[in-house]
This record gives sequence, C-alpha cells and structure tokens, in this order.
Amino acid sequence: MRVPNYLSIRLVSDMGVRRGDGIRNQLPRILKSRSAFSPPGSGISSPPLPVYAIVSLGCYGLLMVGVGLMMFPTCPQEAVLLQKDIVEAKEFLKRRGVDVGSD
Amino acid sequence: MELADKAVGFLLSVISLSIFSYYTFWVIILPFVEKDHFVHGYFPRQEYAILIPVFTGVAVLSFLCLFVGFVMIKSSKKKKSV
Repeated sequence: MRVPNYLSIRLVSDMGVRRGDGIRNQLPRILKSRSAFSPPGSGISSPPLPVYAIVSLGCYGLLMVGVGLMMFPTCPQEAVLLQKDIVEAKEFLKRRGVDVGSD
Repeated sequence: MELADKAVGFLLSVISLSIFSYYTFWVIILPFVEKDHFVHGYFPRQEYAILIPVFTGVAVLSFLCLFVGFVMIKSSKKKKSV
C-alpha cells in the first residue's frame, strides 16, 4: 500500500508506524496502543477541547442563573407599600365607576 | 417564597459546579494520569467524554425545534378556526 509522503511523516512520528514493515501488519498494534485523547507531548492534537469549551460555557451560564436567583433582592417593605397602593387605587376607581376586575 | 428561590438557585449552582469539575477532571487531567491508577475506575471511557455532550446537545436542540414547531402549528390552527 503506497502512502503519500506528507502522510507518511506524520504516521511515523506520531502514530508509531515503523518504516520497512508493511502498514497492514502494524495496524492491530497501532490501534490497540493509541488512547482516545493523548497528552500534548505525544504530538497528537487534542480532540475534546472545542466540546469542552461548549460544555464549560453552558456550565457558566447555568452558574450565573443560579447565582442571580440566589442574590435576587426582594425589598419586603416596598412590597407591602405596593399592596397598599393597589388597594387604594382599586377603591378609588370603583368609586368612580370603573370596572377593576380581578378581586 | 424567597427561600424557595434561593434553594433553587443554590441547587442550580451546585449542579453546574459539579458537572464542570467532573468534566474538567475527565477531559483535561485524566489523560496525564498513568493507566493503572485507581482513579480511572471512577470515570467512563474517554470516548464518552465527547459522545455524551454531543448527544445531549442534539437532543436539546431537536426538542426545542419540535416545541417551536408544535406551538406554531397550534397557533396557526387556532387562527384558521377563528
């Protein structure tokens, strides 16, 4: 099997193919030895980094949502005042004859 | 009511932090650990580190598209009947 020159360099340096011995007999050894992600020192580029970036972005978004939920300011005094204002407004409008609805 | 909100927010942040740390350890640290260390037993095979997020992403996106399409069909049917 003839391998093009540019590919043969990469195969010898990165994948541990030995020159002189046919590629077909070396295939079982190569496929068994190579792990899915190799550390950068071995010369093989790391496949999982883009997926890792997307997953970490999703995690960051979820974290920001959770933190925002925890830190949400509720202002209890303003809530009480608001309820009072609503009651006042409803009475006022009812006296003037406007239909206020949900009671 | 604010306590329920705080609890949900806390749960979300805990889930996201744990997923992030587990995934970081799996993808970045584990390739540098030698093959017969005991910690390899706590993580599935390395191929799944790519497959699981991809399949989850595909499932989420298709669910979103189905949901949007369903809502659009329902609203157009209602407009036609009225």
